[in-house]
Amino acid sequence: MAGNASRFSSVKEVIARLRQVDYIADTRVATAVYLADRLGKPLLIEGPAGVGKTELAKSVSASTDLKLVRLQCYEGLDEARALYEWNYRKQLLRIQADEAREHHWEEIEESIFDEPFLLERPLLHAIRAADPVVLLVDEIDRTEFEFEAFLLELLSDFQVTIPELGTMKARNIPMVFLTSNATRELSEALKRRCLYLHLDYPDSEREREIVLTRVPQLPESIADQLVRLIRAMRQLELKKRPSISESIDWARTLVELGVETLDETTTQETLNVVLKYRQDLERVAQQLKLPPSPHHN
Amino acid sequence: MLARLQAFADKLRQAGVPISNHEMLVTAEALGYLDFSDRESFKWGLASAMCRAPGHLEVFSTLFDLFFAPESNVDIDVDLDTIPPELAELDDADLLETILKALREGRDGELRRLARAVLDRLAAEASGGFLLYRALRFLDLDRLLQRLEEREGVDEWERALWRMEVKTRLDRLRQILEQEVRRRMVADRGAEDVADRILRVPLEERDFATITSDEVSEVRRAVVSLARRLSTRLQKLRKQGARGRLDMRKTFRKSLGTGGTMIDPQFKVRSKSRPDLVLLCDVSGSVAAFTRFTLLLVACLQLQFPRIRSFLFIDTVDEVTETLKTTDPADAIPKALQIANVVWLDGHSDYGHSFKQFHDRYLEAVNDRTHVLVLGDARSNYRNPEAWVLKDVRDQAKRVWWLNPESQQHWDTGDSVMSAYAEHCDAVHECRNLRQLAGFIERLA
Repeated sequence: MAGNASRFSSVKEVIARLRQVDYIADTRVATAVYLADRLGKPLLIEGPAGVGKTELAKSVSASTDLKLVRLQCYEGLDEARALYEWNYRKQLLRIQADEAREHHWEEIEESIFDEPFLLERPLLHAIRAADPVVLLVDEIDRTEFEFEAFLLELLSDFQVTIPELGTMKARNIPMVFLTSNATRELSEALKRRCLYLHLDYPDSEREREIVLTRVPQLPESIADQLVRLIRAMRQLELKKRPSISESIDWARTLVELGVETLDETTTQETLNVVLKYRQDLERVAQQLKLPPSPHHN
Repeated sequence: MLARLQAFADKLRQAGVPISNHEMLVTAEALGYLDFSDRESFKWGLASAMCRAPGHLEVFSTLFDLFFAPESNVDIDVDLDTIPPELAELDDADLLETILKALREGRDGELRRLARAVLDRLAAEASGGFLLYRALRFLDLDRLLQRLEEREGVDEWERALWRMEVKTRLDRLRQILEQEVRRRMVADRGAEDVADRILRVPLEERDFATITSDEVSEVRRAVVSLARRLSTRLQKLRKQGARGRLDMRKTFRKSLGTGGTMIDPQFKVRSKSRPDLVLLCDVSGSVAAFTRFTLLLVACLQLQFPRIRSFLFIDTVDEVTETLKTTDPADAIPKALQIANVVWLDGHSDYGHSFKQFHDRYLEAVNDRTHVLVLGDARSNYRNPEAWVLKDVRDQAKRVWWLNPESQQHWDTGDSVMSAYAEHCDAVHECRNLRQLAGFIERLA
């Protein structure tokens, strides 16, 4: 495919290079990234909050030295915010300035629908960039169906059409990552254009490795205990299950506090880093038979 | 290889994974880049091209193990085909002790080896699904759980933590057993035949009556996530419908920024009323699963239904609105069932008496904005249906709906008096699985 110089030569290389930027990927994650790169297809990453979906895109960008272009989605996001917009204030100024000099309308029209009046938004930026980029469309499930439909042209052909300027084709195929928390079902058409990766909580060995990589000052014995606790908590029916980002936060907190063992007291004192709801805290405390909290926070 | 892949894809389709020709093309293209000798990578590479939802992955995994079973045991780090003779010679009690030890240490390879030893031992008497059943009985997971929980020589803290971990270990053992039994079945009968036997109907289409107690929490999670999806969708629909007539005043005001040119028209916001709900739920054994999930679904949609009053009944009726409101929906329902005073005589469903009680005590709950939703199978044990109550309710309410978890062909058979009640309902719907339930709730909101 034109302009698609693959960035990785094997699954092993993906793992190794992601590790260099402190992202611990297993074979499953690495294979999906590798295929997305090789096939020039977007990768749709789904999974609970805080398991490293966004982080994966960032790490791929860092490990390949490609610039990261990020589009954060939200409800009501439209083309003008995502793709491009004509800078109409500047256009008005131009028209007013030209009126004094009695230009023909055709001339004015031609001049105001041109590059200097174009406001480039992330998607157009990714398409027009001189060097290949990593495009991250974050939390796509927050947008409306219409926006998804609009993304389709971009994702399948890597081109966009601006009526006044014509169709623009990507100079380089960007690596595209879409993330979703699955708060709603994405359209079939969109899914079909992507490869799919479901990121879930990692197994205990990988989680331990992630925590130790991110917080190298953490003693290994505490890391073992921490991972055990976190995994046990995930088994419970909680409102918000602790994810990897909570494990890392917890590890950081323990290091800051200079904790030497993770026992009842230290757990009880720091558990609010891990659990965000009072009911969750109570449930875990009850399961672990923690002493009642001495002070209210 | 391609033929194998095609057969694999066919089975996936049967199991409800929508694989179009497009996906097959992508898969074929992906094959060119995958390393067949790395089974793990091969598997997940295929998955990324063929699956599109977490639910698909589970089916995918099961079927992949059937269709692309490793010829040697390269994926498992211990040599499994040779079960050491000392394992075969152990008597049953000692074998169980060894398994307990392996569970405590949590070593996967060892567990698998032991699972095979157990199956070998029982294979003479049983095969297939029955073999799994026999193996589970032999192991007696409940007893194993008890034994695992007892641990000497550790402090209270370690014991509490251990108790939280133990269940995962046992789940793992059960998983390994299932895999091993399947592997045997494939060797006997071939992958495709086995695939047909074990494919499960997707959770959303499972008949409520067939949901076992093991699956309840799984279904509960599905209901909660369904509620979340429904809720986002309904909010959006509502927002779209909320745009009313052009608001000239606002539009003028906005146009000041563009020198009086009106380029951004503003609209009035139309408010749409949300239905008041009165839920009247039969919670007797025969329909308990169905009503429980319906209650949960509705409770999770509080944003859509700010005013719900819930009543439970078996042979008399009780209100549980407050209990459901004050606690987290997932905890609330078992609690409500515990507190509610729904048995009057003998604990057999009595629709007539329950309805009459509702009429006497709670009729004020129903007004001209109320949608009344009756959940039940209308099986009243040959007692007087007292259908006139429903007529009275309907005269006062905006709408009366009835959801029946039984298949329509069973209505009015035996002690079912569905049609006597149906006369006084705006509509009666068959509601046997989550999909039908979600469809109804969506139309209602």
